[in-house]
Amino acid sequence: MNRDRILSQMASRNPLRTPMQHSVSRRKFMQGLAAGAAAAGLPRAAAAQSRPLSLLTWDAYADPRLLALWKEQTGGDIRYEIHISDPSSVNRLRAGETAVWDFINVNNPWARGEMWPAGLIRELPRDRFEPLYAQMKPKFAAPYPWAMSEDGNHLLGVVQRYETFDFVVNSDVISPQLAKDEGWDLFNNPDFSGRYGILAYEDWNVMDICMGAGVHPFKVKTDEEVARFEETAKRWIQNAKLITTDFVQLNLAILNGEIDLYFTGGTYTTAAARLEGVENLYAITPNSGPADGKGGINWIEINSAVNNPDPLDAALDFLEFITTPDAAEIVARGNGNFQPVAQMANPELMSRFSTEELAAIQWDEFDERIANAVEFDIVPDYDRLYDIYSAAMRARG
Amino acid sequence: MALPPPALTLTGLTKRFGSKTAVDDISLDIRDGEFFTIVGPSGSGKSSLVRLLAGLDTPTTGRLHLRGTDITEVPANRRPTAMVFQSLALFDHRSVGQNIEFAMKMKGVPQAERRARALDLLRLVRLPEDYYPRPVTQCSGGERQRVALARALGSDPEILFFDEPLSAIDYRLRKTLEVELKELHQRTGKTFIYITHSLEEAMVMSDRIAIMRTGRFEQIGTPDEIYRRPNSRFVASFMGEVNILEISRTKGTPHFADLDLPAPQAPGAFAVLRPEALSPGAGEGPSFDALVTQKLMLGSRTQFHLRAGNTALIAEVAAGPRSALEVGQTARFGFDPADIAWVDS
Amino acid sequence: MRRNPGLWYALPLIVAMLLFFAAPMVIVVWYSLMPPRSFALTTDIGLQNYRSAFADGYGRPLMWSLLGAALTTLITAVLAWPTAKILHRHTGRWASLVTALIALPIFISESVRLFGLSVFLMPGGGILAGTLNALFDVQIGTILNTRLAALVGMIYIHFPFMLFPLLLGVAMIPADRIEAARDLGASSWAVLREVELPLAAPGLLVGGLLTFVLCLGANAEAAILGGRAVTVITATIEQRFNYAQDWPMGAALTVLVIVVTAALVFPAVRRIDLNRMLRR
Repeated sequence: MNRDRILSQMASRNPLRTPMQHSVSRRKFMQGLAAGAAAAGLPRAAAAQSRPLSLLTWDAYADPRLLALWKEQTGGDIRYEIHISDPSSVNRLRAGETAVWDFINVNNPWARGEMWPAGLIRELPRDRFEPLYAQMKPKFAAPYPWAMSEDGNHLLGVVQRYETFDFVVNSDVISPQLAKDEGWDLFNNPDFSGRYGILAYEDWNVMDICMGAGVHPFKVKTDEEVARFEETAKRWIQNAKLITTDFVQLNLAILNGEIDLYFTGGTYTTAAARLEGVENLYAITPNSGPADGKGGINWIEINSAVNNPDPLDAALDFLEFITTPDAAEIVARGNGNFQPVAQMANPELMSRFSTEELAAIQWDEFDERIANAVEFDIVPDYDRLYDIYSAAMRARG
Repeated sequence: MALPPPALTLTGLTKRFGSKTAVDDISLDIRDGEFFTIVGPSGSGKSSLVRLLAGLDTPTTGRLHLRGTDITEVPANRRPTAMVFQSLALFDHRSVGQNIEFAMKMKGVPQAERRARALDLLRLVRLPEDYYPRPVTQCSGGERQRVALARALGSDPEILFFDEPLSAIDYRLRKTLEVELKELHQRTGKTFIYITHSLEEAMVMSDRIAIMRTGRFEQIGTPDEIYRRPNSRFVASFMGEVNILEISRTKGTPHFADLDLPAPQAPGAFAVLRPEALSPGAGEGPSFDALVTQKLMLGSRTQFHLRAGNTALIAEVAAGPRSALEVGQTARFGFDPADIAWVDS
Repeated sequence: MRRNPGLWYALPLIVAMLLFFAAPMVIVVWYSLMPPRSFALTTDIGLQNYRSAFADGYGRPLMWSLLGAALTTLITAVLAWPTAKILHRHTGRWASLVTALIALPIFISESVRLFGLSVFLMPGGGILAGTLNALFDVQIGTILNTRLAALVGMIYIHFPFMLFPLLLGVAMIPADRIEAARDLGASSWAVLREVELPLAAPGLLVGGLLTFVLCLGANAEAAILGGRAVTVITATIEQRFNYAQDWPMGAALTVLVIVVTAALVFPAVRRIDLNRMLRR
């Protein structure tokens, strides 16, 4: 039974390994402090040799098989910590943890927009890394803007996982075709008031609310557009049945019939459950929307080398390693989830995935969804919109 | 004319804790205004009994009547009785005045009236009025006794219970408080039921005394009766140093087994002989030779520890020419058979 | 120095306190005075964040946090009191087992426990709803994703923090004081008010403080069980630090919470006589 599968998924889940923003954060912070203190306590030379490669990462890159493969190929040890969120990890680097970490992976805007200008990551040698882009899906052809600094002169990372991330419906209640056609207006429809949830990945929520308000999220807003955003934000947040940072809760709420759809979501939140046979959890990318006619948003994970004052060569080796078919396969299946990777252009890699796995990520629609989506970008007026969004959250109760 | 009903009537009162019987089928009338003392060693059940009377425990079986009204099921807070606890159980988080007024406050007596009455009670227990606002934690041991007493009186109880309240007090203060308590009893006219392990304390204050042993009363009587006519070796031994002589009937005529003296009229199995009934010199009664092993001066009296054959005895003599014996001397000692209290067990 | 060995011995502690307590506080206060959304500590100080704190609807989450903390403290106290009394009366026997069972969850991650409760409360196939449906054919809804669920979670999580100090407090009530009060005519209610509560007050106060302060900082209950039906101040602060990338505003809110907490806690702390608690 579907519900049992989700429940077992929930039960077996280690909360330290899922992106959650609450209680675990303090422990993680302490771990970070301890790591920082340990690193600071070592003499420089000794540290350079004995320090394991340190990853601040989403969970796919902490898959034990990946770490074992790295150890097998290089003999090197890896220490890792799983993100709580993009901004919290960027905060940690800002707070001085560049001395702790060697590798960080976050969504595309953060590398170019925040970490590079703040000097938190270092540039990659283009001659070594640009050839890797040639083996990826054509959209990533070098120079791929999101992997570059604003001025286009510096290569900031390696692209790997990518996906559209919009909303999820219960396909038994709302047909996928209808959902794609209706797009974000589903959440404007009074019939679904109190029937949807919000996954509080807050930067995503802000973009989605833009889409629902008919505003291009990545263009400068007029006051009239901001007013529309505000009206939509208040209404959407007020009418949400539940808001959580845990997508398993939202999937369960769909299965329990509490809600029929939720944003933000995509194969990232549904693939594992779909692989278990819960096929009525269906990721939707709208066919159209206000962003140059598109309604979907496409995230691209950028893997970067942290600007550690004591840089490890292994950091660059690791960035190259993850693009090899063996490693890319593990990343795609990282920790029980399943995500498309840029290296799927490689037929050898593609052949390793089963029909069921590809169905779980709705692979038959993948190119269509990417085509219907704009790339995750910096939101101009983000601070203003975010303040409106968070005020609406506070006003909810 | 019908007699007024007793202050308290116990009928077959029994309290069992598991297999142990603490109070074993006790029946008793306590008269109105009586100072009744229950004496017993620790574990005799006297504390269990007074807890039943105060309503802090309920009896396993048996009934309890207050002036003819059945109060067996009435909880402690609705009984017109009050207890002075062994620990005193003062409310250390309250002042002297608040302690004394506690019961009145519970009854809803107005503040001003409470205060006036508390000050009266302070005088009654001989504490200065300026103790009223003082925290009880700042009072000395004797003062705490008086506060506890005033607090119990504050509820204007028909019966006051005392559960060994003087046991932790030094000798001189205890003597003073015993006298004050007796005066207080006379002045208030209330019924006092007092628990102690000291018969001496009981003797000073009580109208009647009950000697308790393993849940039962061994003997009930006035102090004089208990003193002169103990009905068992247990009661006799409770009075402190006493000579207990076994009567043997194996040789035809009864005789004092250890002294090898004939005991022509022996209505009991044991003769209880108080130390002062034994004196040097042979009188008309039985006499025997004894070795003085110890001589203790007790002020107006002198105590001799004697050995006659294998038997140790104690004699007490008023200071004077008759007390000139010294340790190591052998002398003749005798007694008057009329001074003997006969007991069977 | 030689004349005052006490100071000399206390020095490591003083240094540690300055380093690990005072210094972070100074940094937080300093940040709170910086311009919004800046990351550097400069001399460009101002009160604009505090003005925003009072103007931009931050009072509401703070109010919810205070209300939630107060309600949780009150309800856990009401629940923990009889529990502590029963456990105290039965010391030694099954009480130690029960105590251990109550203490055990503290060693399990709070999120895991809250997810457990979430599974329990879920409608349809949830443990409670499913069991009632299967065994008694009773259909019930759910309180999940409501304010009530958040409160239930807070009570569930913080109950032990109230119970254990209260056990200590209840142990400070000598049995004979209760008997004396009853003997002097006190009803059960009067015994509670006049004797038990005052004598157990230190434990009650410590438990109350622990619970209240922990609840003020609680976030996971509203997030996991409440479905954000309420936004608590902790969540708001976290939002400012993370997605808003607005450290100064987050710091200003943090300072305000610390001030409110201190205003409530210090008067209470001054009434606790630790010596009395430890002597018994």
